[in-house]
Amino acid sequence: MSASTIHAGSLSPWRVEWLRVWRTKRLVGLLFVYAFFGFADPLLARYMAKIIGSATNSSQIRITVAEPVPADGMVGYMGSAMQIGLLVGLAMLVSACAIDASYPLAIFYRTRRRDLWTLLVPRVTVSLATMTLGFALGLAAAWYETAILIGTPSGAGVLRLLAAGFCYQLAFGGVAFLLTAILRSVGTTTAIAIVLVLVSSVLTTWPSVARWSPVGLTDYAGIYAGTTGLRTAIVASLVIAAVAIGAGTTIAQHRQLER
Amino acid sequence: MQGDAAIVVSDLVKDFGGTGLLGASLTIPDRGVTAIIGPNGAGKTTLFTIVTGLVRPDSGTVAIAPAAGTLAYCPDTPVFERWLTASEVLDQSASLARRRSSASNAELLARCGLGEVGSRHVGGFSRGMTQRLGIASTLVTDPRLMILDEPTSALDPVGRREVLALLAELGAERGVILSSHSLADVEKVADTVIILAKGRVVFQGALDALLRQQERPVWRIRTHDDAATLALALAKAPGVAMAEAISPTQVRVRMQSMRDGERTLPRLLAESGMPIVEMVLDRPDLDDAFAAIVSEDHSR
Repeated sequence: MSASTIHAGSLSPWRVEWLRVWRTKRLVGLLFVYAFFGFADPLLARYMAKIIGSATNSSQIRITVAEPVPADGMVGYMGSAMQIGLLVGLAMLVSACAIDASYPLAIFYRTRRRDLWTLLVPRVTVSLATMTLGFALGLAAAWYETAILIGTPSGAGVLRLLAAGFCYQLAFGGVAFLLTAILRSVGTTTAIAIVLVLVSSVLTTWPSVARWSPVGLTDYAGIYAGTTGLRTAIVASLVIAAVAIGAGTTIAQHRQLER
Repeated sequence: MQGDAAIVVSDLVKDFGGTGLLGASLTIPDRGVTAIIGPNGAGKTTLFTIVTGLVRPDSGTVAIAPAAGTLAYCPDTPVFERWLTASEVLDQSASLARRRSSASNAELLARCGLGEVGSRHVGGFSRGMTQRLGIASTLVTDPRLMILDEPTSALDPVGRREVLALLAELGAERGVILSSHSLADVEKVADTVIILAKGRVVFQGALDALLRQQERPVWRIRTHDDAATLALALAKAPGVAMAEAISPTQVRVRMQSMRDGERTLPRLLAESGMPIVEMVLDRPDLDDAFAAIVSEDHSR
C-alpha cells in the first residue's frame, strides 16, 4: 500500500466545521433564536402599551407608555440578541472549540495535526460567522417587522447597531475561546461565559469603563441615534478578540494532553 | 539508533506518584507485531502517549528512526465526530494527517470489516464497530508504524479473530505495536513481546524466546490406563524430581533438568513396559510466562 499527498475532495477542517453546524442543526437552532427575537421584539414594542395596560387592570394604578418609535423595535431586538442569542451562540462556540474535552477525540486530532491552529481557527471562525449570520438575519427581521408595525427605522442607525453587535459578539466569542482553551470543559466554560455576559451588563453603569470596553457597545439607543461614539469600544473589542484568540490557540498548542 | 529499530526508548520516566513509567528502556522493531503487556497501571498507555508526542516525559528519551516515517495511534476506545459517516471519518483522518493511502475508503473499510456501513453516521456505531473504524482511520494515513491500544477489547470472538488476522497481515508490511490484556490474542499475533511492570521493562524479546525462557523440565505422559502405577515407578527413577498422576491416564513428571528429560525419560518409559500414547513437554503459555515474570518482579 503506498501513500499520496492529500488533494482536493478530502475533508478539510473548514468543511468539517461547516458539516458540524449544518448536521448538528446548530445553524438552524441559532438562526431560529435570532429570528424569533427579530420578529418578537418589535411586536412587543408595538403592543407594549396594551400588554402593560391589561397586566395592570386596576383603578389604583395607571401606567402611561409612550407611543412606540422605530428605535424601540430595534433596541428591543438588540437587548435580546446580545443576551440570550449571544449565550446560545457562545455555548455552540465553546462546544465546537473544546478540542480537548473528549480525551479519545483529542488523540484523534492531536496525533494527526501538530499545528493546532489549523484546526482551531476554522472552528472559531465558523462559529463566529454563524453567530454573525444569525444576528444579522435577526436584525433584518427586526427592521422589517419594525417598518411594518411602527415605522421605517433609520438605515444608518441599523448599520451602527450591526457593527456594534458584530464587535460585541466577536469580543465575547474570543474570550469564550480563550476560556475553552484554558478550562477544556464545555460545561464549566459555558457557565463562566454566561456569568461574564450577565456581569458585563452591570458595567454599563460605570461609564469610564464602558467607554473603553465592549460594554460600550450595549448603549443601543445611543448607538442607533448616533449620540454614542462607537470607535473606542469597537477597537477595544477587536483587540480583545484578537488577543484572546491568539492566546487561546497558543495555550492549546503548547499544552500536554491529560485524561 | 539500532539496526532495524524503529523506536528506541531510553530511561523514560513519567512519574504519577509511584505509577506511570519509572525508567523504562525498550526497542521496537520497524516490522512485525510488537505486543506490550503488563498489569493495569504498568505504564502501557503512558508509554504510547509519550511516544506519540501527546505527553512530555519527566526525563529520558524517545528516538524515532527517520526511516520509520509516519506513526499513527489508535486508543482503546476511539471516538469520532458522531455526525460524520465512516467514509468521511477516513477522509477527515487523511486530510488531518496530510497523507493518504492509495487504497480507497471502501477497500479500507472492507478490510476492517466495515464494508457495508461506509455511508452510515458513526454516532450509531457499536463499540466494536468504532474500534474497527479506529484501525481503518489509522490505516488511511498509511503509517509505517501503528500503535493500537487494546485493539480487540470491544470485539466479539469472531470479530476478534478477524482483527487479529488483519494485524498479523499488517505486521508483515509495517510495524504494529499493540497492547492487550488478552494474552491469548498476543500469543496469536506477536513476534516480539515487551512486558512492563511497575513502570519498567521486565522482559523484551521474541515471543518464542520468552516461552523458552520459562520452559521447565516438566512432561505430560499419557498412557492407556493405570497412570498411578506409572507415576509410582517413575518417582523412584534417577533424574526424576517428581511424578504424579493427574488423571487416570495422565502422569506429570518433573525431571531434574531438561537434559535428563530429553535423554533419560524416554528410556525410563520404555523400561516401565507400560503402553505409552504420548509424551509431551508441558510448555508454558504466555499466561504462565507473564505470571511468572511479573510475580518474580513483584517479589524483588
